[in-house]
Amino acid sequence: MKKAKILCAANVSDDAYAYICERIAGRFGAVNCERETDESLLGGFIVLYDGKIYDMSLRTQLQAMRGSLDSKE
Amino acid sequence: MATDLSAFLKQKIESFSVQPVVYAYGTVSRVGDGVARVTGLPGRCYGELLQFESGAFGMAIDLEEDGAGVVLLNTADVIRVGSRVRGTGRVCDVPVGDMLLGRVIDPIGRALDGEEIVSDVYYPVERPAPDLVSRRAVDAPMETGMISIDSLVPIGRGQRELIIGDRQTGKTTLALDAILNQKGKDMICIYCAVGQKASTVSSVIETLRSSGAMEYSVVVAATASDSPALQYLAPYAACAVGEYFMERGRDVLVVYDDLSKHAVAYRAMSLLLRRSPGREAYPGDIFYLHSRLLERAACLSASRGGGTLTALPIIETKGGNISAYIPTNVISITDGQIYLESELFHNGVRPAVNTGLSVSRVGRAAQPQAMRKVSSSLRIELAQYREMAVFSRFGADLDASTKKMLGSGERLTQLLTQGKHELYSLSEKVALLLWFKNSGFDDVAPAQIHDAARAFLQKMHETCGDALAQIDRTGDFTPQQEQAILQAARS
Repeated sequence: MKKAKILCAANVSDDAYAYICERIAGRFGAVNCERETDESLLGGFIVLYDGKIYDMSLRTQLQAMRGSLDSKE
Repeated sequence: MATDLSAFLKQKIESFSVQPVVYAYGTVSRVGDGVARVTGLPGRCYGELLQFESGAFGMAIDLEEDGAGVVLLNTADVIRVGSRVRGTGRVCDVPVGDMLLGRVIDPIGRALDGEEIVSDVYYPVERPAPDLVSRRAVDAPMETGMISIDSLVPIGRGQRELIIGDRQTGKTTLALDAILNQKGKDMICIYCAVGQKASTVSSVIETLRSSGAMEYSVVVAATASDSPALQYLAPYAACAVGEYFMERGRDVLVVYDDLSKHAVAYRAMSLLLRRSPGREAYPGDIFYLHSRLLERAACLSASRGGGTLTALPIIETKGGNISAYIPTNVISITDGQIYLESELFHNGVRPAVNTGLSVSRVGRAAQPQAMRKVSSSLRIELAQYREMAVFSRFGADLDASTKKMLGSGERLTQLLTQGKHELYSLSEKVALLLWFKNSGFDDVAPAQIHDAARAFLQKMHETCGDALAQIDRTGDFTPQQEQAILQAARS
């Protein structure tokens, strides 16, 4: 079974964690999930799976918003 | 104003949609000495810019089955083993545009002189050279203001002319003089410093600033304290900056100071990446390193805007050995070389050009007609003088004609000697050589040639200003103008 690592900005409740694992399994099939905390994410979470990062962190969203404000369009 | 700003921010925030960001990642498995090894990272591509978790950047230049060798563009102390790396999906690029004029940047476009560089246009540092049909033959001169270069080894716009010589022979000064001479000639100049001392680069910038040359110049610098990766990228970045102007129909001069240090930086990088060492421990693609850079110098056809990019690469030799590995490589790539000799330099000949070993393979076609008329026999005269001078060292009795030839050769050598940043216009060079050709300096002692030349030029400006201006404008002179100059000089 492949492994997926879930990095959350803060300790999430077991219910929330189970929900995230369920959604990951729904998308990629049976996955062995592993949980870690990374405060630098500020909020949200990221999933590391099969050489790819699925980034839903507040840090990245804020960076994207900054990029959007910097652009002249 | 405040209302506009808040409306703008509100609109931006409202239109921003929150989407998950998906990208490939790898893990740092080894880091040190400016390189890192990354495992994973599916879909990576050659030359791709990678971002480390700490925000530092690197460039993937060694692709392997299970990872990549990465050269670091920032200091390695912020990168840890086990940290994540993501591909940015873009290759290393540099901001380009008019805003760079007068600025000093590093090879990835970060300002080194204060204010941040803001540009809408970015060019990848590695770009293919213009193809065959985009080019035309070199047909316009790129004057350096130095009488010995412009008469004996003329450089054309779009040419690649190597400046080669031992340390302390005036290579950088010659290149700087070529830049200073472009003032008011609608030429963009780029000075690229690779692996030099920061104090040396700073003094070059000061020279450019104090001479008013920074207005049309850009300095791209990767000093000796920068990572080998930055030193490796510097010439490509400088070329990309030049290409922006060339593609807009402008004439550009790029000085690469110097490619020996560039080769050394690339060797360090390659050895750290554990590539097989070849001759002198350089990697196998060392020729391609410089050929792909110098092939980007071009004289574009009218359909491509007609811009030109002239390259003046510099190579430092050791003990005058121009047949070493890197010098011979670059000699074979370029369209000629200006060889500066230590002995001449120490004998007071400046620029210390060895006319026998210097050559310009395409520049003669671009030489102004006026200069061609007065300089056609100079090379032979100098060669005969040098040969004769060797014999005369034996102290043998010399006949009158030999003595005359030696005297003339000595005076010519003195005439071709110029002070640092003391540059001549085309008409001044032509007038001096015309006067020399007509035995005008025959009665002058070699040591007095400089004063005599100065007095002669002053007289010319006072009496033949129109003829000189005409030569500068048309690049040629009529028999009447020739007579006017000679008559004025004799009077």
